[in-house]
Amino acid sequence: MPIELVVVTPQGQAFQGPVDEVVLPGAAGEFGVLESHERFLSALDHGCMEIRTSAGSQFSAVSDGFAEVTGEKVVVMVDSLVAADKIDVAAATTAQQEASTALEALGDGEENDAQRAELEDALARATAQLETAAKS
Amino acid sequence: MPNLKDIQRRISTVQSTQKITSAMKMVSAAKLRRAQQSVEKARPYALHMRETLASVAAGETDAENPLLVAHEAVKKLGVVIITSDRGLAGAFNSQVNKAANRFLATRDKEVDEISLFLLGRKAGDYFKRRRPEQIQVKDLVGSAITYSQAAHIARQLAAAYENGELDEVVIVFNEFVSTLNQTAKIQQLLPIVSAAPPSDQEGEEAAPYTIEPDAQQLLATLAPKTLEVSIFQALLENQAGEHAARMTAMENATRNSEDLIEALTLQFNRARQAAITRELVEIVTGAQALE
Repeated sequence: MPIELVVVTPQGQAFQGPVDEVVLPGAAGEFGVLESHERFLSALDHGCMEIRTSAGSQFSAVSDGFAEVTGEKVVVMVDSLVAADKIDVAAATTAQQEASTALEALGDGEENDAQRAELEDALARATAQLETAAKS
Repeated sequence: MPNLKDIQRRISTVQSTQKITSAMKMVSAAKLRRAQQSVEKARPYALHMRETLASVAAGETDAENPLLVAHEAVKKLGVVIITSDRGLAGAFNSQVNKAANRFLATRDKEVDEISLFLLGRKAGDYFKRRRPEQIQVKDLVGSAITYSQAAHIARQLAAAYENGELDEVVIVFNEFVSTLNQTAKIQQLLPIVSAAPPSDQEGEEAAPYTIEPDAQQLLATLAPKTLEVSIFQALLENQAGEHAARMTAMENATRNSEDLIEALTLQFNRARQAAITRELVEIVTGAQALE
């Protein structure tokens, strides 16, 4: 029995359809969802989402967000989703390097908190993309 | 009586203006289609987000988030005003600016301090003259709206709210109702008002969720996200509305120049006919005088 997966991003609905299993990067660790999963709500981290169907596995890099699981449906809300074959490895590598050097240069001052949060976000995003690209 | 040359010159001026307005109309129509699509695409995300927030907020009574808690006394008001960067869009920008100004006037006495967060050049220009000392942020909307742009503003607002630098945040923007109708909308951003939790079709309350890592932490990420989404949506609505308003304005302008050209052509023909008649009369009288 497949489970219905819906992935929404601010840019539109990225995925909708029946899947056998979906593995999500939860904030408290990776978790898989099969059909008749308990009602479950989790924060998601930047990471790799794996969609398993009878045709095989499909990997995508997702940014942080949330997943809402009911028995027959999974709704994934993330800022962005990039399918593994669409990931620009070179761009992600540069983004990762840029973000980490900028982070180091920023220092520990409290006044830079907002900027630091943004850079950490960018760093995590790039890292997640690279990990996903490596997996597929 | 203007002479023929003058009228002809005016006709060609109006004609070239008409070319510009009709071209602008086409461009706006194309941009509107794209903007409308992105508004519609962002809707399910916003909807799911609000539903999730509502179910978390309703399910857990002990989980709290500073962004959801109203401050006791509203002394410092933050107002986000969104307009477009460019004009020539009818009353689009002025209606938001005026609505915002009216709203500020009603709140002026109650609050000690007002901070304005202006997005879009038109809002900046309007309030630069009226309330220059209250402007906190003045930025352009830009041609392509990105989510990170909304997130950036949301983070500033959330931080200010948590620090007590702001007690309430309100957003004023043009809501895209339809191509012909954009209305200025005033909406409360902070504290976040969560909607009633979604119930099942039978009206039964859904079973509570198992929440991971825990409700408190989830809320800590969910609340700022909800804020980001609200701002993002307002930006998108503003963009779609801008193009719609410009398209309508330019269509009217094109039609007006059509009317003007018609009237001027009539005038031109009359003047030409008058000149011919005058010439004929002169020739005839000249010939009669010779006899």
